[in-house]
Amino acid sequence: MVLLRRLVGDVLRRHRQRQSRTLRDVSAAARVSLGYLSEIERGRKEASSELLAAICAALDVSLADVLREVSDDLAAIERRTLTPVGFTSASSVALHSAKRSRGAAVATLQSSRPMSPPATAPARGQRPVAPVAMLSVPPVVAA
Amino acid sequence: MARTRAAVLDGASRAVEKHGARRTTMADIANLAGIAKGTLYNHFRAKEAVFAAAIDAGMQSLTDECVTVATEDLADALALAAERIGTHPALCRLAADEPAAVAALSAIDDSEPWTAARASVKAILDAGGRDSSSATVEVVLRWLVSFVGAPGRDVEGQAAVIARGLPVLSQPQLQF
Repeated sequence: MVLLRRLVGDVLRRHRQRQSRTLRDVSAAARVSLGYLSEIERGRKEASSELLAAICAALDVSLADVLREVSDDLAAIERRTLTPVGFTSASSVALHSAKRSRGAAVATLQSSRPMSPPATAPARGQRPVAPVAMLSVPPVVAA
Repeated sequence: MARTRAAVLDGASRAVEKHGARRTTMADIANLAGIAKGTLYNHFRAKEAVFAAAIDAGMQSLTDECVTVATEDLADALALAAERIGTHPALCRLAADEPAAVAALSAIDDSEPWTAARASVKAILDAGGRDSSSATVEVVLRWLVSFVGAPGRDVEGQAAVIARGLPVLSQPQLQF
């Protein structure tokens, strides 16, 4: 099941990472504890409206933009779950190959740590990338 | 099964928060976990065993969270760990009325739980791309343990100081 708070958390984390800011920095600006912000980003806790507003202000993004991205992500996930049986979505293909070359992936991750914008982060107002990427991947028969 | 266990561990934490460790009974734990006392005894024989399992599970989930955060920023991960330890409701309650229990809990030695704790700290340092030799691990572990039952002041500032002072892994050790 897709949880709204997880999607909200992902979007908030994406914004923070795109700005290369730390949890300490954003939690201080939003006057929320670092632990709480971490839980919200991971979708463990539901952010109240007040808190969401404070975090958005700290990140200097509008709540409308955040909710639009959440909505886009949700739409992408809902479309993906309609993928016919026998086809694997781009994300699970990526996951598979990442698993196979885990060592290499970790090394890449570490070496590119200082500037690693998440690959799936859609720019403001842009359509989500997942469904498009899905089309470019040849259908894979599920094992 | 796993769900019952999670409920028990959560119940134990809330029971300690409410009654303190000494006065908590197996009945309190079962009650707060929302299960029958008999079911609880199927999983654990005594409250000490529940407490040990709760500490172990808490440490594991904190480690997982901190390892993820450390890949991005080690100071964030250290601040997070210190904050979670310092503000844990059960530990705070213990600090308030059973200081001897906190002292016993914080006595670092070579027993199994501390070996696990060292492995956790090492995993966090590794994820942060820092040196994780035993001396470094010990420094961080002792700093973190100082927060048991004591929230501490400017935890984030302290974490930043510690993270700055920790040796960064030399480049050739990154494998491509």
